[in-house]
Amino acid sequence: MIGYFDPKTDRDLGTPASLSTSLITLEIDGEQVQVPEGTSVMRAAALAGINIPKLCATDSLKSFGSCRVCLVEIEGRRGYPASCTTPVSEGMVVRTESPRINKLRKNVMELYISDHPLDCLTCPSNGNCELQDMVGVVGLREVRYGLSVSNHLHLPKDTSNPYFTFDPSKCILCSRCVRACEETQGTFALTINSRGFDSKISAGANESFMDSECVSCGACVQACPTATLSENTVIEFGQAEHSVITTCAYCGVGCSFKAEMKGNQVVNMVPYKDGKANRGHACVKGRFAFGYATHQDRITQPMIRDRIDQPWRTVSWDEAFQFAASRIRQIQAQYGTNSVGAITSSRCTNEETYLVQKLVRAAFGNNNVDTCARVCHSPTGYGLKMTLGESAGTQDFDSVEHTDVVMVIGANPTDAHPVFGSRLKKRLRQGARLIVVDPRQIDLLKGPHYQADHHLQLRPGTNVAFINAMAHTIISEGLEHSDFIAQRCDQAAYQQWLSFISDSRHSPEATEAITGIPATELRAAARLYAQGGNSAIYYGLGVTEHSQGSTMVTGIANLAMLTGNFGRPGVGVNPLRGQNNVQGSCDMGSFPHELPGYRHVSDSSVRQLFEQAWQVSLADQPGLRIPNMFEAAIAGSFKALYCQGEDIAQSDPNTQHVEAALGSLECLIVQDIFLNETAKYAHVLLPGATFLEKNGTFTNAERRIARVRKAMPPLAGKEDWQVTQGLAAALGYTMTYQHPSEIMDEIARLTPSFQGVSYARLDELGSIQWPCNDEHPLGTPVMHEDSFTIGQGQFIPTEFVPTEERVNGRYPLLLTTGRILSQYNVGAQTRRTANVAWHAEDVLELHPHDAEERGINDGDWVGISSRAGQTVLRARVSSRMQPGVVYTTFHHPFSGANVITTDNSDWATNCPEYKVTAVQAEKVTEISKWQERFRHLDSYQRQLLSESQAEA
Amino acid sequence: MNAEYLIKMANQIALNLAYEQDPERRADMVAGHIRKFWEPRMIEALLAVDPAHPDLSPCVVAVLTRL
Amino acid sequence: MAAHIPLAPVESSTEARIRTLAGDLKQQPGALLPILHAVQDTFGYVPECTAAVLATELALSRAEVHGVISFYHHFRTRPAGAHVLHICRAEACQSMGSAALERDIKQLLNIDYHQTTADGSVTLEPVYCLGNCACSPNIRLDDAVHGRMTLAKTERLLQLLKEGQA
Repeated sequence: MIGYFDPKTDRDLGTPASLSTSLITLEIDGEQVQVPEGTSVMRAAALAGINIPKLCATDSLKSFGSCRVCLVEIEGRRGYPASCTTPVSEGMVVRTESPRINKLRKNVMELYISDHPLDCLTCPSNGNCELQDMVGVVGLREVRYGLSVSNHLHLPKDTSNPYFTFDPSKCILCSRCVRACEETQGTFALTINSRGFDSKISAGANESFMDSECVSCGACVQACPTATLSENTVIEFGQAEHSVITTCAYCGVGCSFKAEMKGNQVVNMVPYKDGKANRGHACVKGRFAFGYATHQDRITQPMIRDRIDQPWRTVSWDEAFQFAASRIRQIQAQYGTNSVGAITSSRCTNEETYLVQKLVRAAFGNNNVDTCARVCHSPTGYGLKMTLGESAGTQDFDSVEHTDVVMVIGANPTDAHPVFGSRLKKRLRQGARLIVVDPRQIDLLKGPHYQADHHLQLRPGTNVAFINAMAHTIISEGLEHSDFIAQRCDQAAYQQWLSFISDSRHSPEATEAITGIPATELRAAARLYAQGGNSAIYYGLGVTEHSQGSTMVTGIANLAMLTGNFGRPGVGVNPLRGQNNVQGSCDMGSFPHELPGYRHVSDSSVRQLFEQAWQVSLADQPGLRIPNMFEAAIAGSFKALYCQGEDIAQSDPNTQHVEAALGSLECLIVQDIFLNETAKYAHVLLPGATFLEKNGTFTNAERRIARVRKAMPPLAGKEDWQVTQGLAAALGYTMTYQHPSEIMDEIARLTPSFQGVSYARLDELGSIQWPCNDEHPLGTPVMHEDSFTIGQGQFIPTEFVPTEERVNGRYPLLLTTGRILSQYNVGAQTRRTANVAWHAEDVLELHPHDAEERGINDGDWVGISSRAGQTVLRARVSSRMQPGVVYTTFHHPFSGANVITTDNSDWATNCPEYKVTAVQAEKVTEISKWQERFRHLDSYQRQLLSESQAEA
Repeated sequence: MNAEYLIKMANQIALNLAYEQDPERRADMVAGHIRKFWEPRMIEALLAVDPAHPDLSPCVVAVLTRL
Repeated sequence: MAAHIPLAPVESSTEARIRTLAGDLKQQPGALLPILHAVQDTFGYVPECTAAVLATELALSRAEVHGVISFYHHFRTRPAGAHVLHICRAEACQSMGSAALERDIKQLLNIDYHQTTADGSVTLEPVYCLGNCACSPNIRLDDAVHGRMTLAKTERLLQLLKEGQA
């Protein structure tokens, strides 16, 4: 499963690898070659170091055999078979070069070039053009066909996409773009229009790229062997001169990329073929939306102020550290040790997160540290730890290739985890069955060449009733995996759970009235999940962000144990993490009750270990969680907060409550790359560094630790870990790391599941899935193989406790919130890129019935109010919604989506209930009072910032 | 800290552990959960609530003596 | 991707008819071509919305359906004239003088291939073999094949058409 990592192997072998285990021996150009059965002659030759000329073949796509350049001679066979489509056979004797082959190839290339512009010197692909390379390889010296006859040299360009240009005059019709869109991305947005001489690549039904089904993933651009599809940055800046392999800082998929560089400038981002999370694919965010890193809004100097209505003062790093540290110490002297805390960033590296929690525990002297995982996946940590013993997903992404039944619950992978979404769709096209559990009609439900078997369109907030009905059905119909339960699970716990779940109140017939899922449909889905082979559950924030989020995660784990779906590829419980390093920030001890490695602060032996390493004594009681910090701030006992790379003012629920909390702090230290919404309440602004500007590691949703490598120097001079170290020093707690690798060494020393992790090991293996230790020196792609981390799997009863947030006469609709493909989280990064071309504002989606009842037309301004607040958005009337349910995103601060959401939260972890808010919607003509205040504060704070920058 | 906020959270924990039918064991579980996840000032503020407070669920009243 | 959030569909009668046609045929293997034929037979051409409607009906993309429509010359994306005249350009007919016939008919109708006469009566299309090579050169007028064609015979056929007797 784990291959060795060597950047020099980044060669195109022409056709994909064969997975066969039986080997074939053949002779190519006199060399004996041994390859797996099913390998193409082209790939066999490439593995032997012989590069057969090719144009339409590339090893990320199935062979196609259209370009006729890769012809070879095979002894005993007539003609000149294409090496890309000819599989090897035992004893085959292949010649890849001969005068006859060369002549044929020359003729083919001559025909290509007869209808191709000869502007190579000024072409964007100059230096990286496969057509040019092949012309060189075959030695074409003359083109006998003049350009006076018909040709395609004057076809107009399509520049509708902000990131790439389509220039059909350079197209050789190899179909690599069409096939990449189909095989790699699964969108099927491209085709060949017409035929013969009139053939032309067409997006959609002869539409522009922007108007077509294209999702701008860029797979076509990467696959194009010529300049027909080129990144605009490459057209503008030219070809890169070196590259840096690093990890994307957007979602939890954690794609591996080659940052193609010219000096300190990123020219383009190319997904790294050997990246095990993404296998050479990317999405519109990771591939294209990197321009924010050099956006003019970047904060480049430390700034301080005494009060938030004052202009910022630009100061040196030292002065900023001293100012922040003295404020924190004053506050602690006045209000007590526990009056200060910090929030670690799930966008920063493991090393940086580790340092912030270390700073809190060692220098602040308390456990008041939390992370944004609190507001997304904290119930995952709770539920999986209680049932299985480890707060993490059980599989790697490759596992999906062995899955027969996919159940997606409360996740929208094609928008929020697009690269995994593509891998999932690929598996569905191969015939895996699909169950979608979601109140909305998500795009995954139906795509080219597959369709979901079941869409269980439940009412928001009724997940637990649904999962109980699934388990009840499996038990009542005798579909449970008795052997697995007997061997792997705690029997007493199972018996208690069994008597709970057997009660008829959990039957699908009884829960139908709660969930809205027809009992027959649910029973059919339960049978499919239990009997369909390898069944895997993928879930997202639609599971966790509820008042019963932890219960639902527990229910999911119960269901997978009940059916024996653990411990092998193709099965398991897979949380799709929101941000790039949510898994990592949790692993690193960002929760207020846990030290790194999920060990409770009350455990004296663990505390002792850290006390010795850190040379301090540690608090033995849990600290405040984020929502508790807000409550304590309003109550007056929490006075200072250090917030790294997290925009709580925009992302956390009940904005006005958050604003009140931030407004009552005496010292707010914000470390960020932009003046985000939270920074408008800050007293100290410490410039952050983007992922391109630092070294470290991220851990993705499959527990994969992957290197983040510095591609350019930090704009403000410091990587984020250095900033935390500077602040610690000013607080009188010295940290002496010279490089993040030293931080990782400390983590490995103190955390059993990271024991075998080091930068040297990461360089060697490419990436590592924890646990990585003596038992698993190469990491652990699939967890709980022979036994659960907890020992015996623990079934836990999951009573459905409805949320208090219910519709009534005043608030008759349910609002649920989510994400969209082109934007990321609070949008601070993606809003500062051309991705706004797809999603320039957040809109309220509502069902035509609800719209008509209120006289709302598409595009109208609609006021949405809940018991927490009111905001105004533009309406999008969409039958994707079910009647009575409305939906929006929170990517733009002015939208105020979280002005509406309430402070209801998960019973076990305080994860906010973003997914269920009772609201009313009505047509309005002006923005809300909150939005007016927001506008005022926003322009005022921007003015304070620009005044300070003018001074500097 | 705001008592209403803490009462609501404590009641919610009790409600979600209601599958445990033995009231003593259930109160132990709720108390255990609170000790595991609550910061001391939150526990102190909950303990400061009058056990006769009308919003406290009976289970949480039993929890107060266990914290 | 521009309209990423799908609007509530307000279906036209054309879309509804295409959906009905698809509904009758979509269970059979390789349903796309039979459905496209049914669409063209019903409307006389393949309306623009066909790609989008059939994409959702058959779990395909718009691009895929469009690729098929645009590949086959048989499928026209604009309404034809009242009658369609195909001239065979395959080898047998060419050897029997179809090139001259082609030129003469174009002149007679005053249109080129893929065009329709000003009065909307006739659309001219090329075709490659009508399977009647023994009687070359051939033309097809609507569904009837006519062999051993000359300009004069074509003129007579067109005249009969005008009189409503062809």
